[in-house]
Amino acid sequence: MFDIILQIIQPMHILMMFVGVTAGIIIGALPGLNVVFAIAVLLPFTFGMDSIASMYMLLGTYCGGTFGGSISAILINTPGTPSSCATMFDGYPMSEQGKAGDALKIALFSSFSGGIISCVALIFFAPQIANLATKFGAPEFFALCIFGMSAAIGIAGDKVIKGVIMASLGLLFSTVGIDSTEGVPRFIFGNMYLLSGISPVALMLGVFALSEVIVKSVDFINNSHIKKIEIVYSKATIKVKDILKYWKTILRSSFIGVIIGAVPGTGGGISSMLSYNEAKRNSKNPEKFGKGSIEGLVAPEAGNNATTGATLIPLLTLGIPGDASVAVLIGALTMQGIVPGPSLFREGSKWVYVIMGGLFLINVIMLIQGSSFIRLFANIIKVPIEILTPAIMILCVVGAFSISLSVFNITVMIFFGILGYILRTNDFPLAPLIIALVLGNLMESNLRRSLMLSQGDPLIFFKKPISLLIILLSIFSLVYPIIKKMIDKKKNGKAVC
Amino acid sequence: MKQLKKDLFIYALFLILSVIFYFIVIPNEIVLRSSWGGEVSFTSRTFPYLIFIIVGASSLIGLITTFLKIKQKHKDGIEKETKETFLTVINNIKMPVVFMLLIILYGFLFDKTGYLIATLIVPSLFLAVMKCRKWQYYVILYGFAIIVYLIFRFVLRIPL
Repeated sequence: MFDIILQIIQPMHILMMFVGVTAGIIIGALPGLNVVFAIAVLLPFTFGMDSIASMYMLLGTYCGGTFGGSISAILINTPGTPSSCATMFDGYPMSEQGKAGDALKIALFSSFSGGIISCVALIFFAPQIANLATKFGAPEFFALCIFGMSAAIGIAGDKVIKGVIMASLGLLFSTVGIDSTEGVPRFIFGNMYLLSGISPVALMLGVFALSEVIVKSVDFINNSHIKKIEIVYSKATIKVKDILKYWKTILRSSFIGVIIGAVPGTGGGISSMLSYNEAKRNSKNPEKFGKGSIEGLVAPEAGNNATTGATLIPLLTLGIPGDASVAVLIGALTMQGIVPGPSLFREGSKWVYVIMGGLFLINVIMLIQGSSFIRLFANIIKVPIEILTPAIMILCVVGAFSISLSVFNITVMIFFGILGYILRTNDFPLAPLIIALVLGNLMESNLRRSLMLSQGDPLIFFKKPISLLIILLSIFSLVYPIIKKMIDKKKNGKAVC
Repeated sequence: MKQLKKDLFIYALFLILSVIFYFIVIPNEIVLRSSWGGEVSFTSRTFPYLIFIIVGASSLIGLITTFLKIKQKHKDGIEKETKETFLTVINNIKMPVVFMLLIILYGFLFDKTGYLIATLIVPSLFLAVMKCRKWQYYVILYGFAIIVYLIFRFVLRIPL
């Protein structure tokens, strides 16, 4: 225990937490740049670090970015990240009433509370799930991979077909290179660089960061005539005890966040929206929601940050990412030679406990930084796009080169940047692509093993109770959005009649 | 309607690609070891085959549903179509293509001349395309590029 604490509080580790949280808040605050983007861009900076320092920096970015998204949501009514959409509903009205400082303080404290509760859930549940996972065989792991992907496709809403195609593309890219079982090269098209496969980091940098450069630049050209928004910031006067009055909302929303986050393939967007709706449903003053209600701001912020620790539960215990941001974290772990999964929890391994303990400190650092420099962070929104986009391009190219000191990865990144842009502009969701990419190898190897065990009988997945249950859940998460859409359509049709 | 037509094109493209990959690319690109053929039910080709079956099936479903939606819209007469001229199409894709070319140029120059010269040329071109006339922005960008160089070169020891 003492060893673990000593590891966490090493000066280098604390410095990396600070750097990560700062970078996360800054990038998260910039409208349209999400947490996945933040982690992808910062990933190359971790290549020379030890695994703990790099994880602290990226986890800091993850937590900071999730909170940072609320800054632009509150100040300019534009969510910095998808998970802060619900923050706008009451955050911006508060800002209009001259209470921007109060709104930011509420968002910060709620985010911190959600984050801490999520850490407790991670520390409490992760070892239990890892213990259970040691009893899982190949069919169960295969079913879990299916579940992770179908949940990611399901949250894409009515774009299920596009989601399935994207997940398939992710799986396809994971097959490039030498097949680890038979040693047969696949889809290398005569290029020796492809023998070791497509670098997930180069792909993620391209799909998430470089495509964003094109999107933002084109948007800037098309909308350059639109007048820039002025930010009016006012000092916070609200006390922590006034926020703590809503402890029930904080607890409920954090609980929702933990549950949603622990489901592979989901993320902060759903939990913040769900937390907001639940808070409104249970509130004594639901009529105040949407008009600057403190409760309406507390709920989504606690809800989205409560996913940050919970998304690590499936990652650390099963090797399955909780959301797209955590899928990028897997890229970082792979670069460090760490294979996430139940083996991390075997006796004697302190690494995983150092990471989980560090997450507590990261949330505390986020609170300290947020309280001290909130005004400074609020001004980040003013950074001109003209500077931002070429700067991101520089980072992407340098980052791709740093992966293996090879220009080939720059080519890969540019290819995926252009592909990412085309897919985004045609409404294809990117999360299933990235989740499938990181799950591809795990999925194929477990499918192969299962079929070998059953001598080619695919019914093996339905004969094992856990695997059957997970597959049924996967089908439900895939079909539910379609059924819901049909029901809504029917209801609307009736209402019109 | 415009997006639906785009979707129709994309689904058709994915369908054609999945057929090409299934019947031509996979057999050519994944060469099985002859001694294993016929004895092993799960080969290096099995998983890619499954992937393309899923892509093909999804694209076909997408194609049919999109086609039906377009037909329904025509029937309802909800939307009057504004015809896209060749010029408007070119105008829509002009800027994305320019930025893509700039990024490709940066990657090319990075390979041929190294970080410093590539960074001296392309980011300023980026600003120029965005019609930026504020010299301060150029200075800030070059300052940022120098910081990135120093961090990667001397802290992370990556020879840019």
